[in-house]
Amino acid sequence: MGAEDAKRVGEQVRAGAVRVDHVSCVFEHRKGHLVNALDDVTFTAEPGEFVCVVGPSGHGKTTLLRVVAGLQPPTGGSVMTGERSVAGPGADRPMVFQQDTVFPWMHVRDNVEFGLLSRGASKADRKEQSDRWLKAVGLEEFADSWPRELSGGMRKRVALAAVLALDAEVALMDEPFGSLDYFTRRSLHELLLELWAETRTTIFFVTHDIEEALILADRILLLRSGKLVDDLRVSLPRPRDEDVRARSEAVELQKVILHHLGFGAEITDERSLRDEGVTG
Amino acid sequence: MRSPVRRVGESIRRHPVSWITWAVIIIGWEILAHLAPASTIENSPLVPSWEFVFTDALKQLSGSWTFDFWAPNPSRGGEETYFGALLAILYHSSQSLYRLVLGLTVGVLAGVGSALVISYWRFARRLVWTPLNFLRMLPLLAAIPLFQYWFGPTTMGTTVFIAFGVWVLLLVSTINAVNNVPDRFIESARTLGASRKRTYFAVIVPAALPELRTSLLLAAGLSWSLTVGSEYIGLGSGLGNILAVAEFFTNTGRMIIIAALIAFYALITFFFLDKFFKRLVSWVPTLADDSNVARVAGVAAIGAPADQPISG
Repeated sequence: MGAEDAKRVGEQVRAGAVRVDHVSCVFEHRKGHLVNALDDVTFTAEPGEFVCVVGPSGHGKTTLLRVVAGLQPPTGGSVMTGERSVAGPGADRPMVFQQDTVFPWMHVRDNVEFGLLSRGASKADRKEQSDRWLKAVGLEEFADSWPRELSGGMRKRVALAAVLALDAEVALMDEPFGSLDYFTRRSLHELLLELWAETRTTIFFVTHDIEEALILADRILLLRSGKLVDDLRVSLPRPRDEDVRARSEAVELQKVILHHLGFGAEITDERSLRDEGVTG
Repeated sequence: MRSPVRRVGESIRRHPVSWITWAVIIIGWEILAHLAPASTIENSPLVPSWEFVFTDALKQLSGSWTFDFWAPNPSRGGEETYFGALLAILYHSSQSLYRLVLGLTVGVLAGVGSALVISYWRFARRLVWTPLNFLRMLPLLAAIPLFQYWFGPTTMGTTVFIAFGVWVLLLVSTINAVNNVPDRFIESARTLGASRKRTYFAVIVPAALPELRTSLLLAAGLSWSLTVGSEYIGLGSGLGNILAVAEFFTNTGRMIIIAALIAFYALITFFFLDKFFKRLVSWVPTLADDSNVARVAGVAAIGAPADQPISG
């Protein structure tokens, strides 16, 4: 990306916003077979937005998140956060992973303070922040526990606290609750939404679970075969409990998502759907 | 506190098959001793009976007590005594243990340390990988004469030799352990803002530790082999030397005693090394339960227990 382009994009991207600009990612498999994991994906996430990336497995969701995280360099296009071009991983875009990434050799508090220590925060500052975030995720009593003494859901809370303690403008989440049971997942949805409401961090959340996206998202990006096939704004009122998700606009939104991803019935009346607050 | 008798009783009730196996081995050996053809050499039965092992052969060990105090010195015409045998066992065991502990400690520190340095720099890794793989293939026992030529048939020579063998084993396994650290930990650290140096020392090194457990226990087994091997070939003391003397006199009873002693010491070494290692990586979920000597010994013998992942 040239300096002119960077300047142009930088001018358009506010702090906390993420601009994904014509990003492509091509992998070469064995026997020279090329796979387009991402194909010319462009969008801008506004500051404080909760963006869910939805699509079937193997259609580029995680690759997109890894490109934004700087863990995977794109083969084309660029990613800007604020005025910075993403060139590698950094604490301005911390990530909660699908797998368990809580460091088992560190106590819970040390895990939460890991990023703060990397940033050179003082001991007092680290203690203050870890106290705050451990309390926020309901684990203040487990500060001195080993991760092996916690359940899977509790370890996800630790990962969440470690990411949010960095007070970054953007947080990335790659199916973070995918391996948890339904009830734990639901309680973590509530916790995440509470913390998001408090911090207004821009969240990129990858999931293949449409219900999860409907509960969490301001906006749903649909990825199919590496292409961004739709960009839906979700105007359902929060909290989105069972009653809200049973409303006709929520049901129609599910149909739109399924339709775009190649499943489900035809959409009956897309125009009326848009009028009811679901806009693409 | 339970009495030893009660503990043995409980153990028999809980693990009857293990005790039956031991009983079969001991009784089978005794039957074999009576069925085996008699040896033409005096005091050298092909298969020594337990009675011979614990009377004549044990007493003959006092021949390895070469000092003129505390017990008669048979090499100067003194009488063979059980107390002399006990002193001989204690003296030669301490010699072997001293060499083993020194060589093992130096080898482990050098092996793990140099591997961590090499792993940190990609260029260094490429530089040493080929010669390292050659060293792995080196039959260590064949190198004993070379080490004795370089360092003399001394404790120093044996220690350097043990340290060299352990160094090669731990160098290769530590580099492998570092390479096997799951990417997810490294990537998580990087997205949390850790520098390359911090990621290496705060994440990769501790994450690699559990995989070193097997290698450490193998190194303990190897160092016993190397100690006894080098003492057998060229040193004037140590359990390996007693074996060499027993072979000279074709005294199978003494061989059995020394072999059993070495196995016992190896088991004790595994036990304490495993205790130490479990304390070092107490955070690993599968290592949280108490040490099991039998399983640990199994680790050293076959590389890894079948029922439990080592690295957790």
